[in-house]
Amino acid sequence: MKTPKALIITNFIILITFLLPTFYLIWRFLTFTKSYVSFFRSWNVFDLLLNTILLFIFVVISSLILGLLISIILVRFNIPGSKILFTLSVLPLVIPSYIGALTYVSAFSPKGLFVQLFSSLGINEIAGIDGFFGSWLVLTLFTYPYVLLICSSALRNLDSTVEDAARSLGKNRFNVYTQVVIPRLKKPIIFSGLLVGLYVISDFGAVSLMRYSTLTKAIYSYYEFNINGDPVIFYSSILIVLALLISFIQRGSEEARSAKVSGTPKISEKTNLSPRSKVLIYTFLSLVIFSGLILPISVLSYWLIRGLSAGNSVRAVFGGVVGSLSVSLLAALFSVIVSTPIIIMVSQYRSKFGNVLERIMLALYGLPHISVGVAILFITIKIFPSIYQSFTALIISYLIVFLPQAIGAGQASMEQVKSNYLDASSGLGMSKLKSFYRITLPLIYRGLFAGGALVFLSTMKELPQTLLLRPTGLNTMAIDIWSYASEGLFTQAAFSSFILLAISAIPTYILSTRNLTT
Amino acid sequence: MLSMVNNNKQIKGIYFMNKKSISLLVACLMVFTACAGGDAGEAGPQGEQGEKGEAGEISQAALDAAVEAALAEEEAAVEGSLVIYSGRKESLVADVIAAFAAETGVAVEVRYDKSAALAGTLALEGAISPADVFLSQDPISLGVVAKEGLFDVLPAEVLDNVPAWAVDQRGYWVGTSGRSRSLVVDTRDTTDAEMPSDIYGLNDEKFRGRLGLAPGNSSFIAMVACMIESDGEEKVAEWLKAINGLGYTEYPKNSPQVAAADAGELDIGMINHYYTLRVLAENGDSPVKNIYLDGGCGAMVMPAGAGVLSSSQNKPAAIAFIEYLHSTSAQEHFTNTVFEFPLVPGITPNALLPEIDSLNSPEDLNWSALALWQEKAVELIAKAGF
Repeated sequence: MKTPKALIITNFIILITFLLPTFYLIWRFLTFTKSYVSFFRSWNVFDLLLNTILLFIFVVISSLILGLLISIILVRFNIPGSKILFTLSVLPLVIPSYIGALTYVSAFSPKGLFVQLFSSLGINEIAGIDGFFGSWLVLTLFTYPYVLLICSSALRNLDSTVEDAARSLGKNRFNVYTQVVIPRLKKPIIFSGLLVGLYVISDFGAVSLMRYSTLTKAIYSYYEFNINGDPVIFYSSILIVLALLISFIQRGSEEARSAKVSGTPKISEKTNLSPRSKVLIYTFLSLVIFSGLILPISVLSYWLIRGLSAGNSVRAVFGGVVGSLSVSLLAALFSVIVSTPIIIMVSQYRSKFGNVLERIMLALYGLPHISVGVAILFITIKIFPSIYQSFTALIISYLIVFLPQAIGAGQASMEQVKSNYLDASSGLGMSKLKSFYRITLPLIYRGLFAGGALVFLSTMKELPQTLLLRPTGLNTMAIDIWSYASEGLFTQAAFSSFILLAISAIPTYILSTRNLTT
Repeated sequence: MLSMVNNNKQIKGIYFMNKKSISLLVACLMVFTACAGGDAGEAGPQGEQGEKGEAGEISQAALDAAVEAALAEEEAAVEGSLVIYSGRKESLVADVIAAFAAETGVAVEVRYDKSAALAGTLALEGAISPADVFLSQDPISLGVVAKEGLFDVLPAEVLDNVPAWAVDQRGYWVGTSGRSRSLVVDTRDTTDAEMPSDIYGLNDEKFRGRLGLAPGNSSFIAMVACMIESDGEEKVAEWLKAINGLGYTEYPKNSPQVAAADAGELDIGMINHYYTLRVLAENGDSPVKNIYLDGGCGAMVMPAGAGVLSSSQNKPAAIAFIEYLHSTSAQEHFTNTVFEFPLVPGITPNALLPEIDSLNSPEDLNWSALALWQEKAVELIAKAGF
């Protein structure tokens, strides 16, 4: 089928808009008047890069270990209550990293909550959790569920004949896992590891609350006290290149992942465990669930109750709630509108442009929010002042990073729209637009709605873009949480955190579980 | 709901703006008609010379009358809407701004951020800035905006409200309250005898692991800029490196340092004086107190202040707002709620404040000269590894 011109033009405009921030940063990077050497001499570029990469490596490795271990335990071993344990181990995913960080910072500062609670036991001061260790801990705890979801689903569908063969050749159970199972999960492992990695290098909230200097934290600090935008542009460009690189590798691994073995796989039977190993495994899982879920929620509850009993007013957080809901709804609405022509083009018309469009849109998923925010900030000041500090600019910026979620969800539902439906429809004399309205839309609206919901949830938790681009007077829950937490006003921060979690936790859980498992 | 109220205010503002623009438009039309009349006279024959003169006189009178009418209307009531970029924290100024809005009916929108960030933003925005007023917690950020040529010179009667030390020498901004650099100390873990007399004295082994500071704080940057101006780049870079080497605790702002000292987590923090007084006002038994250094940039008393952006379309309202900051009620708010030094003569400083004359701040600081060091200060702080 020939692609309608209007569709090509619409998508072309969308594509150009979406690529603008990246191109702008690259253009600014290439046209610096100062020499690059002077940047390396004046600013601690190497330290920041090193810090960012160190955190990336450590969090990816620890998330993979934790996620894989739990996957294997829950999928391959006979453990009573494994369903509920699975749900509880995935749930830390619904906690945004900055909320997680604020609970750890407030609980384990040198004279924080922990010391106050156990002072009767003679504990007066602890070393405190912050810096690299704090960032590593928090990011691991709130990203390993991605690995768990993706790898457990792959593990469930893994054909076990090879393992059986290995076992019959005398390999012990440990060797079967290290030499057979894990190598065969290579692709989901790489995919989920890099997904975690993208999360880590883009993270701004957790590292800034933990006071660990990475590229994202440096970008914001320089934005906060430098008149000259050069370091901000410089670091944003480096970060975006780093992210695109990771995203590129990750996309490659995903394509490979979707190539499935045909036929029904032979599913491995669950292994029974000795009582001693069971105790060990329960202890391990309890520890993880405690650190990733129970502790953060308890600390938040503590601050909330303390705030309420101190008479903190609900009114203070009201503006943030209204602001969050309105921008998130707007972003969701526009994500549906903008993603529809892309979804139709990519799924219904096989063309080169469609393929390029799909690839680029998916690659944008990994763009660090802060870099996109910086680029849009500069573009609106220098090129489009009429939309500077406007909702338009903010929503465009959100869509650039969140649209892939809407596209992904919509595309899945588009598979139901068979091309012969449309052929029949046009044979009956319906125009293309009418066919879309009568046939395509009724079939895909659920998918579009799910996509919109994902964008809604992501927007509500978004922090750095909102900080940089918010229209004057707009406040969101994420901004409230971050600014209260960075001032050490945890009772106020807990209030907004609770509302944010109450609205987002369940839908986030449902949608991520659906999206990340096959 | 809140945003709806805001929208209504904005609509009201636009309505008032229209009223104002209409009167200006009328004035312009009159001038235009007069000019057209003059042109006609010039083109006419010699005999009509007298008529031309008459036309000219009429136009001049009409112009004066129109301008006067437009000015009179603006003086009668400040109207329009105002966008304020506030580097001062919401909790410190929101009440004053709300009172101004309520008293004048001006619709006010405020963008809160760090002073330095807003100064940088203003410099980037240039002529397209939506801001009318920049309210800053430190004179360096004001100086940065002044250096970029983005402020209008303020009327003399506004500048004269406060002492000369708290005013920009070229009149681009005016102080609204005073604050002093100080050290907050936990009296349980420190003694007066071990305190240094100036900021360089903090570079001492006895303070290893006991110091706190907020490297991104505008006032800290201002202090470093002052140190570069008076002592030279090298000495400051050395001091920053030495302080970093002693092991310090980094804070995002000043207030958490006082909270940390109060909680016993921090011995000595480099802050502005009023955070400590706020804690003491709430709890007189708190073990924290301020040490005011004896001279040098660590004892600097600086103004928080405000200026009107040249790009503003609402200058009368902007100036009225700055004048409001000098009103008795605003000055009393600054001294009794925020514990700053009032700058307008005749306002009694809060009892917790030291005599401003007893502080040994460097004399005759040139704020615009210090602003030139802002970028260098940021660079030195970053280079020292903070």
